[in-house]
Parts: sequence; C-alpha cells; structure tokens
Amino acid sequence: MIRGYFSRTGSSRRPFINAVFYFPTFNHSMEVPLLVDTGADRTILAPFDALRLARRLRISLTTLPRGAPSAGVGGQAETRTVDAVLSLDAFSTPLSLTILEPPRGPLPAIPSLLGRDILSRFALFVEQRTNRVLLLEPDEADALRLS
Amino acid sequence: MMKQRQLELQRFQRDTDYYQTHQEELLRQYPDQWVAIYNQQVVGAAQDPEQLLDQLEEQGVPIEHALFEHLSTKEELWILSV
Repeated sequence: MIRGYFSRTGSSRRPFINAVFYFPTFNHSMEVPLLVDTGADRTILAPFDALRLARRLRISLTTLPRGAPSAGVGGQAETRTVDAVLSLDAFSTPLSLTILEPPRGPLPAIPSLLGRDILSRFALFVEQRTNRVLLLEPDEADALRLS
Repeated sequence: MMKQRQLELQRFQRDTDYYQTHQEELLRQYPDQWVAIYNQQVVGAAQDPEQLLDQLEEQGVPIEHALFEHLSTKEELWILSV
C-alpha cells in the first residue's frame, strides 16, 4: 500500500502522493509531489518542476523529444518527453515522462500530476474525512471484497 | 538503488510534513511567494520562481531534492486534467 496525503491550501484540501523520478540518461533523481488526477491520461511534469529539472541537468528542454500536445481546461500546451523511472514508496516503474513546456511569461503555480498511466495499476482510495489517500495493490483491493 | 530512493522519499516526506504543519505561519510570513523547504527548514523565498532557483543554486541547495510551494493568499480553483 502506498500512502499519500491531503495538502491544505486555504479551504481546499488536495490529494497528493510524493514521488521520486530517476533519469537514467542523466543519472539524476528528483523528488516531486504529484497531485492525484484521475482525469489526466498521463503522469505529467508541471512547468515549474520541468524548469527545476532542466536547471539541474543543465539542459534545454527543447533538446528533448517532442510529445503529443496536451489539451486541458486551460487550453493546449506543447510537451516534451524524457525516459524516467518513477518510484512511489517501494513501487517502481519505467515510463516515458511527459513534460509540460514552461510557457512564455510568468510560470503557473500548478502541480505535477499522477495520471491514469500509473493509477490504473492500483485501486485508489481517497477519503478526506479520515485524511486517507491510498494506492492499493491488486491483492489488497481484492481482499476488500467490495463488489 | 531502490533503498536509496525510498530514503530520499522519506526525507522529502518529512519536508512535506514540515510544510503542512507550518503552512499558516509560512503564508503569513511569505504571502504570494514561492518558498523552498529542505531538511525541514525554509531555505529560500521569492516572488519569482526563477529568482528563487538562482538564489538556491548560489547557496548550494540541491534544487532537485527541495520542496517548493507557492503560498497564494487567494482562493484558487484547480481544474487540471491534461
């Protein structure tokens, strides 16, 4: 079982899970809080975290391969991709990580997202009343006998 | 390698816990600024996130391991699916 938490901002409480991304091509890792987003097709690195990554690796994001454009409520954005290994507690998986290119102008204060490419491997349990954000392994979910 | 990443995550979780515990106090101290927390201490704050990264790199703070939060004084509605 992987445990997340609710992050409080004003009156909002949002579900997060902390992750480490390891970038084998560059032999560097980076910690990132990921907003649990069942509406996101993929796990996404937000512009600020992308900027952090580019600085740490001393690369320009434009040198990375282009990804599919991302469409959301706020419009469309260009993306890049980079090979990474995502770790959540003891769980680890390789993935082609989608990076939202930082826009021109002020950086939006939005978080990176844990999307369904990863969430689909678990059962997601979110209960604000008890402050629980849990990713259950298939055997743990089956043991609940909910259906 | 896996063990090392788990240790990194545990340290990062302690920084997250620190932020959650001190969030209201930090909001009063650094309204509408980005703050960086590393090893359960505020290691930098600025309105411009790029300026904050410059400042931390000059101090030798590992920006890849620090926790960053934007302390907004406005209620914001997030609808983020991409």
